Amino acid sequence: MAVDVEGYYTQFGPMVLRRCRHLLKDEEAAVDAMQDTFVQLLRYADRLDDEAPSSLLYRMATNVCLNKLRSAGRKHEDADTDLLQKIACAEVPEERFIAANLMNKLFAKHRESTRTIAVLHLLDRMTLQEVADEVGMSVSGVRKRLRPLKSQLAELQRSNLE
Amino acid sequence: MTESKQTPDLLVEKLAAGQLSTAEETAVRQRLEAEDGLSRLDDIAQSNQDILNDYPVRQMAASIRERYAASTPQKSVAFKLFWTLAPVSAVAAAAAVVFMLAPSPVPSDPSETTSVGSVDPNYSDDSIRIKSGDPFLRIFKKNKTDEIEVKSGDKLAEGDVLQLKMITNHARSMVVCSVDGNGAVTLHYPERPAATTRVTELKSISLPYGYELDDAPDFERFFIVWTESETPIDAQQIIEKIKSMKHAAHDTPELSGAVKFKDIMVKK
Repeated sequence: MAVDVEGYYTQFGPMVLRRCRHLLKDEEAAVDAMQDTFVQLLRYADRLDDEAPSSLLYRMATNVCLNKLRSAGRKHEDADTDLLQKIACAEVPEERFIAANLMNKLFAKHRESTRTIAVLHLLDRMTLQEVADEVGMSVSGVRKRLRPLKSQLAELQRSNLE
Repeated sequence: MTESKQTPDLLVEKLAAGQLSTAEETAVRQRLEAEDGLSRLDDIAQSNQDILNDYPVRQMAASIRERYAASTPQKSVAFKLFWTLAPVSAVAAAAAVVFMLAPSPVPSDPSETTSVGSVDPNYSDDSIRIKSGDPFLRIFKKNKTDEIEVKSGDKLAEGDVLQLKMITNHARSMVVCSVDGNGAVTLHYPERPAATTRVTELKSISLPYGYELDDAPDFERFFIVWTESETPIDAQQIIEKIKSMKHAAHDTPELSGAVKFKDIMVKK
C-alpha cells in the first residue's frame, strides 16, 4: 500500500506530534519523534492494511518516544514522566529478543509492545478493556502481559523510596 | 490510578479524525458530553491548525522523505525489509543454472583462482571461473518452479522476487546496488556500506537473499561497480555517487578512473 506522505501528515501529523509532545515534553525531540514515526510508516508501507491509521500511528509514536526516552535516560520531571521513564527502561524479557523486529511485529499484528500497552494503561489511564480493544487482545491477555512489568515498576518504586 | 477518569486522548483523537465506527462515535460523544468534555474536539481542531501552520505539510513531508531516503541504503540489506529469504536449495540450484549459462567456462583448476583478500562470508561463492572479460551481473526472476534471466528493458512488477549473481572475473573489489524510480538506493553487495568490498577473482557470487521489488514507479536500475586495482572501492561512496545522479534512469555515475560499472535497468 503506497503512503501519500502529504495526505497522511495533513490528516494525522498533528495527532502524532501531540502524542510525542505529551510523552517527551520537549518540542524539538517531539518533532524529531514525529518525523521518525512517519519514516517508520514509510518503511513498513508494504505491510499497511486497512486498520485505522490513527490508532496505528498513535501506538507507533508511543513506541518511538519510549525508545527515545530509553536511550536518552532523561531525568524525571514529574510523576508521569517518572513513570514513563521507568516503563521505557524496564526490562521486558520477551522484548529483549523482539526489539529489533518490534515495528515489524506491530505491523504484522503480532505482539504489541508490552511497554506501549503499559503506557496506554498506566499513563494514559485507559482501562484494561479499552487497551484490549485497542491492541486486539483479550483483557486477560493484557493483564498477563502487564503483570511482570507492574511488579518490576513496584520494585523500582520501593528502591527509590529506600 | 488506572481507571479512565475521563475519555482517553486516543479515543478523542480517533473521534476527531473520523476513525471510529458509528456506534463507537456515538459512545465516545456521549461520554464526552457526560463529562462536559466536548470542547476537547474544538481544542484538537485548533491544535491541528496551529501545528500545520507551524510545521507546514510540504516542509515536513520533504523532511520525512529525506530521512527515509537517508536511512534506506544503510538498512536496505540489514533489515531485509524488501527481501525474502531465499531457500539455500534455490541458491544452489541457481548456482547450477549460472554454471551452465556462464560464458567461456574454463576447467576448474584451483590454481587459476587467486585470492586477493577476505570475502564477505555471508555470500555464497559458487566457484565458477570465467577466463576473460569484464565482471558482470546476472539477474534472475524467481517463479514458483524456476528462474528466468532478466535482461535490460524487461518489464517487471511490484512483488517480483529477483536473485542477483555477480561474476567477478578480474575484479578485486566490487559493489552492487540499485536505484528505483523514487531515487532510493539499495545496496546489495556488500551487506553493509562499511563492509569489505573485496572479492575473489574468477568467481560467481550469489546473493543469499531474493530481492523483492517494491511499489516504486517506472524502473529499478542495477549497477555492478568494480575495480581491478589494489585499492578497494568504498561502498558508501558508490551509494552517494548513485544518489547524486540527477536522472537516475539514464545518467552516468561519476566514478574515478580505475572504477568501472555496468548497469541493467528493468522497467516497471
